[in-house]
Amino acid sequence: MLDIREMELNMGPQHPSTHGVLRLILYLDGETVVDCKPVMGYLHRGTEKLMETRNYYQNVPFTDRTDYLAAPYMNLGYVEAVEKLAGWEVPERAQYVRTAIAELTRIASHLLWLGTHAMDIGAQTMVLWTMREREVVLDFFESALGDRLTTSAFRPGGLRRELPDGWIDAVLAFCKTFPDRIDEYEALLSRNRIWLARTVGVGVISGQDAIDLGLSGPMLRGSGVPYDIRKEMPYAAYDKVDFDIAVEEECDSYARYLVRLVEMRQAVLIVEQCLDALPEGPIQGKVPKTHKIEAGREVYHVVESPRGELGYYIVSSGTGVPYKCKIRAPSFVNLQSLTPMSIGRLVADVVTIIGTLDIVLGDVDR
Amino acid sequence: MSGTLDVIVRMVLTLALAMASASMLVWVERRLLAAFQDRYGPNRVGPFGLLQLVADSIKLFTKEDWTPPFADRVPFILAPTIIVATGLLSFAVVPFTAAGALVDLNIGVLYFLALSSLSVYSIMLAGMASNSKYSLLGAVRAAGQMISYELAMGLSVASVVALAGSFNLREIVAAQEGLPYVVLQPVAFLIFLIAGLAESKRSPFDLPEAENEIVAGYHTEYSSMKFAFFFLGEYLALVLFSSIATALFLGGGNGPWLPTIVWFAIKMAAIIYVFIWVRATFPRVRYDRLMAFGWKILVPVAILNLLVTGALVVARSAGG
Amino acid sequence: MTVLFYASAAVATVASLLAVTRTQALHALLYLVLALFAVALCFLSLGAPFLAALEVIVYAGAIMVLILFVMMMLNLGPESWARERHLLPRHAWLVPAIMASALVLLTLFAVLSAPQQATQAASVGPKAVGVALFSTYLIGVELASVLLLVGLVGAYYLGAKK
Repeated sequence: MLDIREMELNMGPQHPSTHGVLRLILYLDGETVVDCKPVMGYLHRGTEKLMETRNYYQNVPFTDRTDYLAAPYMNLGYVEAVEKLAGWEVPERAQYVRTAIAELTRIASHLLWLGTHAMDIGAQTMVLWTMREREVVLDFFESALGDRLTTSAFRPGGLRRELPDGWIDAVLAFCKTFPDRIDEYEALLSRNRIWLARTVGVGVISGQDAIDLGLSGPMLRGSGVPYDIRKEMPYAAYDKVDFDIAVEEECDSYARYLVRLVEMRQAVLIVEQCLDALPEGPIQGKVPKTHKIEAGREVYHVVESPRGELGYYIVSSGTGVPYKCKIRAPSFVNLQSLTPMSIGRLVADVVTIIGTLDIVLGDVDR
Repeated sequence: MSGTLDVIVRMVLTLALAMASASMLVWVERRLLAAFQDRYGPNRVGPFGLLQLVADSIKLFTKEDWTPPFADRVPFILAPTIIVATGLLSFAVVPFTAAGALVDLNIGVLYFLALSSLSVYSIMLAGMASNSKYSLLGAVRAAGQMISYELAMGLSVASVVALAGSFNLREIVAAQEGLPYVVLQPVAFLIFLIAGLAESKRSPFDLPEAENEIVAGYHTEYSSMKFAFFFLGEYLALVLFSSIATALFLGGGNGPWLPTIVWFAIKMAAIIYVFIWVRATFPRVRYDRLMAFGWKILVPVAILNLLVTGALVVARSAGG
Repeated sequence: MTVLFYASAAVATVASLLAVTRTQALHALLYLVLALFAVALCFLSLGAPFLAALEVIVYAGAIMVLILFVMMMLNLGPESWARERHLLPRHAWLVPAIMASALVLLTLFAVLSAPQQATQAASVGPKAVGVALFSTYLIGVELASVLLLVGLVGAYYLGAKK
């Protein structure tokens, strides 16, 4: 008489904790997830196709709008790919500034992740604390780059403009106080019993599975794989600074939380080293006005964005406009692990797992 | 006839006090949370933002009062009234003043427990009548949570009753003259507070309306004043639990120099402060953990506490 | 008190009838809760406040909630209401109704023919109930608890089988 069937629950695209317009179709047995199908594309804007219609310089703003929470990093990956494609030189000062801004981006991005992740799990104080520090970082972006979110930070061949007066001192002052703030966050969460209960053992993905799924960034390093592109294939000025990569063996959400906290601490060290050793000199290398790059060249360049391996594959067309530009988005690839991590868990864990993935839907859909 | 008038006046006063403190609590909570979170909170409407509440109520009043066409109409409307009605009725036995409560009920404690167990209906009916999946999930969570924690709460209260030898709240307060039961019954006090958090569905036990997981849980489909009623009911529950905790464990209005009602208010405010503090600090627990904690830790500890208390009471009465 | 008793008794009767005849399970359950309330009021008016409170806590507050819980899980829709209606056609009521009214008449007859005696409406406090339960009716209490224990073990066995 009674047929027992799973409940089909549509989570998103309008849902408080799917971080934008991700839609999940959950099949529930009680509150246990039997199957989970992510549906994406709600934010697809055809960025990659659009980039075939503008020249290399004009394409920078498109990259802002993919992973909008780490826009300078998206810019960095793109301009470096273009420089590699064309063989343009970048002055040393620009390299150092790029590295410093890139690491500030990592701090801003991880702060937002920490706040929203804690919020998803129900700790609402965290998000206001992390926003407080993120605000400072965004102010740095505003004064140095002209914008807070969609920065268009760099241009092929160097920087758009010189750093403003007093900027370096302000950033260094922030770097002095910021580690104390991280201690504050840790005091609130790291040994909180409920936080541990909600994150330890949730969203487990083994190191081998992580590699098989192509995960990268904190998702990979939280599973005990010490792979960081900043060390493996250094770009910008990463080969000239000294830093450690964060690795945790536990493979769960808590491990990834620890990884990201350590990355923020390391980012502070990198920023300090870059700004202390900042060489004098020009900020823009020699680049042809038309940005013309000879036909038939292709390049794939990867950088370690806050979310993982961000790759740009660009093919030149012989003019100033690329023939093809493909973005290997870390959020998109990392999202693959959502289903294997969610099956057999509770609805509340799905929220934790979405949070720990640290996806940006602009990056997933492009 | 003057007796009837007196009763009516006291009734109106108690209700007004309960409603006013529950609605003031919205402002208090927002300001306190803001202080914990390094921001200002509502400070624009009126002095210190005190009139924010008025603005919010006007807004809620003027919103469209919408009953979804797929909802089961009568229970849908019934649900929010139940939570407010049970909340307000419970205040009849709270001994705010030295003279005791509005009704000097012999079974005051049981009356309170009975009404708090009835408030579950409000949430379950809301969840079922809404005919929406998120509401249903919220209602399932709420029902499981409230039934489980009611048991622990009842057991913790029972040890106080055993100690005082009465179900009458006025007599329980009188029995604490000189030594509040929080000293004699710290375990029961803690259990009562935790269960109170769970019963009033406050963070970290706010799973039935966990907006990050199930949108708004059982009141997802509610709008306007019906939604406001759920809100009001929740804050009424908070005031109620803190006042009952004051009466049961902190010696009610007992205290030197100040009038009874002032002492009562101070103790209540302290408990409410702790509730808000907890909300600012803890993440939300997960459903299975919540049930495990309730059944595997709280209930056994409460039973043990009751047994030990009972044994001591019997031993004392046998010895003396 | 007498008025309260008769009023709540009337409500209890009507609500019970409605609880049986409703086709929507949720509505039937709500009427049943109402009936339980009315019975609790009857107890109160007869001078048993403790029993009244327990009636509300145990029956209305716990058992009915559990039944509601199960109903929520089953998620009965309009098709089940139709099925209910189909299960109870008008002629199916006939025989039970005749038998029940015969029973009511017999009860009325028995009550009216018995010697009338005004009961003393003295309130019985919780202490007195407790003393009576654990002295006069000790065996009954123990038997009931054994029965509950059996039920508990059985439920555990059925639940753990999965």
